[in-house]
Amino acid sequence: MDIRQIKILLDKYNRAETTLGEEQMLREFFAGLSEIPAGLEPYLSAFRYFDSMSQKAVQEPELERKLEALIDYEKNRKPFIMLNRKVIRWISAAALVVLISTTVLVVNKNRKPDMGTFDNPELAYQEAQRALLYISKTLNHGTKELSNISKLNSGVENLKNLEKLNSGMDKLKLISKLDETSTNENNQ
Amino acid sequence: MDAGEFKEKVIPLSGKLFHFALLLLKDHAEAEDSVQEIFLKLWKMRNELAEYNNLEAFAMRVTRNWCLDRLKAKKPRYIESYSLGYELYSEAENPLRMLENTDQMTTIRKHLQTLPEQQQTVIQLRDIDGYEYEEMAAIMGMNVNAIRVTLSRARNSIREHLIKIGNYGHPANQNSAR
Repeated sequence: MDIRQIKILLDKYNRAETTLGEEQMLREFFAGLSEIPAGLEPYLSAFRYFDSMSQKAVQEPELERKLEALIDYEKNRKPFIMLNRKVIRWISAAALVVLISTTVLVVNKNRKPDMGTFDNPELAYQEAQRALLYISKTLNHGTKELSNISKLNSGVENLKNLEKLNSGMDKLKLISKLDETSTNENNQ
Repeated sequence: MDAGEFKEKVIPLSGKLFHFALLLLKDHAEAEDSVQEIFLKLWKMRNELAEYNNLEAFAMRVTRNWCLDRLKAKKPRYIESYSLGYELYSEAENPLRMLENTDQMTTIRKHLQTLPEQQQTVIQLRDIDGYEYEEMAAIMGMNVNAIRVTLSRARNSIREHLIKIGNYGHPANQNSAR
């Protein structure tokens, strides 16, 4: 392959239009060079860098050993791992349903009013009496306040003094009699 | 897929997955942790793995998504290190330092780290791992044309950078670089 073809290939390479086969040809060309043609030095450096990196890339035996040990360890925990994702999701969904339904049941049961059941009628009677007494006591407590209404009468009693005013007025009637006698005197 | 088959078909991919994770995460320990997590994930879905006709491309895709999620989780540091062009991992813990003993190798690696993630990834997938365009499209969830455009940009960027900083003794090249 002559230098002119290489330069055409390098142009294609720069435009990212070369195939992997053509890129391999370029690599081999640069690897086999004894003398670097002018202007191609950057490519030589770049291809050498890529080659050194790709040789490095395939060899990580120590990492592979670690990973194999990791997989062996995981393999022995297989039963647990088989429960992964989907199964765990279903189990948690079922657990959630159970949890919610028991909570609802318990709450509903507690919310029912306690009617107080008595097997013994006598005891029930006593209990009812106690309750009724309590009610009447609280009712009486309210009626006490009503007793103040009688004070209203005491006010009204004071009004009786008005009758004294009347007795004064009666005395004034004597003045009219005076009037009467004076006319009688004029007539005589 | 049983353990034997898994060890035979999936575990040998670990080297590639690890280097891909390292490229994205820039941290040796984190890349190794991620690969272990990814293999656990693959092991747990081992019964579905047979359905993928290209297991390797699928594993690479899982790795990329995993790493991008991890980067997203600690985004501030990620953005900072890109935009300021910091050295993303110290030379001391760089696992590749044994191989890259020349300045040129270091230069290319450092320059690659300044590129956007997609450009780094296409270079890794094509020029280092040798994937077909269709496989790259599957791994990256992009169409082939977009992959070609990204790859072309990345390759030109590397070349121009090498011309710019390289002492090749060809001033003409330096002038024509831009």
